[in-house]
Amino acid sequence: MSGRRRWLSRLLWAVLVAPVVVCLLAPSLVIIPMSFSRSPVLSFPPSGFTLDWYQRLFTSSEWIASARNSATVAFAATVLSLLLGVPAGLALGLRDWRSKRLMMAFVITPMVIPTVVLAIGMYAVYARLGLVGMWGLAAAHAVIAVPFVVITTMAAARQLDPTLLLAARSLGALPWQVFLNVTLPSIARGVLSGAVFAFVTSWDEVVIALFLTDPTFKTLPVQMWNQLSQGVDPTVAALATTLLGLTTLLMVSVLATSRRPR
Amino acid sequence: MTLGSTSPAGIHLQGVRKSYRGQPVLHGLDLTVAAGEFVSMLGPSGSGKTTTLKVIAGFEQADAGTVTLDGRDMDGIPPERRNIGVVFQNYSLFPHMSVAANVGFPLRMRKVGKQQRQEQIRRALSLVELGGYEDRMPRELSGGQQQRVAIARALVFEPQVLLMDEPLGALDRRLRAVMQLEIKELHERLGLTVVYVTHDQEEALAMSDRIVVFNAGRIEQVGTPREIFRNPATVFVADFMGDSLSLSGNVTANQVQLAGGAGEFALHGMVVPEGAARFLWRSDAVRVAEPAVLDQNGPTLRLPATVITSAYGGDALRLRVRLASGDVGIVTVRDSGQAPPAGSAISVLLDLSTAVALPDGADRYEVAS
Repeated sequence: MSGRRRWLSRLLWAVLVAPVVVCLLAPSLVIIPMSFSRSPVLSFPPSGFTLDWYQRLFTSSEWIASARNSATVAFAATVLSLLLGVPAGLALGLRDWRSKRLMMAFVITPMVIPTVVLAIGMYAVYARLGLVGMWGLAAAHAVIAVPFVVITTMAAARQLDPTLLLAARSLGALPWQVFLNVTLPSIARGVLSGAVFAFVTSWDEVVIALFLTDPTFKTLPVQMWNQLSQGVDPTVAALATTLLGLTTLLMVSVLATSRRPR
Repeated sequence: MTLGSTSPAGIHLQGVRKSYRGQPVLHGLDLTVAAGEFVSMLGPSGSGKTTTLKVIAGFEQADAGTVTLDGRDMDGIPPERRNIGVVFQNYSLFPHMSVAANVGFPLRMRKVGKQQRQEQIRRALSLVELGGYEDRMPRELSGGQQQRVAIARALVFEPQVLLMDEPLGALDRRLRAVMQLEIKELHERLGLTVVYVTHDQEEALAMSDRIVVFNAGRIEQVGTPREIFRNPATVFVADFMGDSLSLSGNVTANQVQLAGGAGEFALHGMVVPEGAARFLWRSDAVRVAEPAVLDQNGPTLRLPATVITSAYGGDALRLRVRLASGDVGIVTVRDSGQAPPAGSAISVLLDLSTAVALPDGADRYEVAS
């Protein structure tokens, strides 16, 4: 009786969830068979099997250069957003102060402003300052990545018992030693997941990147965009598949570590 | 065994004031704790006892007044340089460090070499009977074990003073009784100066050399447990220290008029200033008799009373009674197998020689009900 009921509820669940999974995942997954297709243009269903597109991807100096650019920008943006976001997250999560809500609203504005609006504004300002290229893009990406770092750090800091910090002081730790030995290890998971979000945010950002890059400095999403607008070469599918695999791996590893019981 | 053998320090507070957002919480506190003494700071929540502890520890700066430790002015000295061990109610062990790393933390901060560190960790843990628990994580320990680790951590660097902020508040009653004795024994063995914050009067009575009773940011009374319990200086202290029965009246010359015209009696040599006063008996010093028992001569008052309610407490019964004067109090009687029903009339016998006479002030301790 109860076994039957459980079976029924599972069926119902599957019927409700299946369309969501199909609509969300299928468009991303369809790219995988396309990347192995023999056809010289992007097409579905794929015909035949080849690894040519992967070979072309990994031997093309253009693709490799833009991947390196993307990694550099994402790394710099992550470091910048950690430097700004971790102290802000601690201040918002550990203490109560006046106009804290206002500060919180200010910190998350980059999440709610349309990216195009941000991109145009940044282009106007950064171009005048000569900040187009690697550093300009890293700074712009840090702006959109900071909210992620602040939110994850703040959530972790809220879990931190403030008397731990007093205890550490009474045991002989200087303020910076308290930060390194107690505060940082306690919020490390939050900071780490914030860093991953920040990295990924920068890594696949295309709108701002289109404005703030030039032909001598292109990131991977910009290069993909250019390729797609010129012709439809399955190398893009090979790249997309590779990135999908890497991102999945990264997210799974973050989830696996954060699920561990405290 | 050298742990805790550094000479304990005395603590001296003079005129310490502290306000939060314009609300004064300490009104010019004067307090001296002798080296090696076990002093409890007792009072209801919000009375300023924890704030005083934070000022001594250096977590809070006093707005005015001086704090000296071992004769040295602590003004501007941060907590990490005061050499004071602090134990908190919620243990405050570092959750990401093993027991050994927690206990070794103050030694690491003091740059003690690894070898010596391990030796001192081992000794501190054996002191609290947790030898062999070095590699456990705090979350794997019970509340009592965690608090023992916290005590070991607060003692391992041989502080001159140990501050404890309601350290047993999170433990159940039985374990609390055991830990009280353990902490007391540690104090006696190590000869430390201990300042112990609690709101539990039984705990303060059981453990302390002296008790400081706090009320609304002021010290009501300082004294040995016996003095505080038997000779409270104020009505507040009398009420806070436990169940009692008291009579309010007016003193004129040698005579006391009870409130509400409930009677009068002679002072029999007690020295009480004229005016409003309260005469108070600990619940266990009051005898209860059937209404028919005849008056006794001498300094014993016999007053009619009505039972409001009774509570069974194992070997004793607690009766809440109302006197003709309107005073309500609690008396303790031996359990005779049957509790008197509510509303029954009894007599209370009050021996004037065991009474505490207090001038009646406005500031009473009311148990919220």
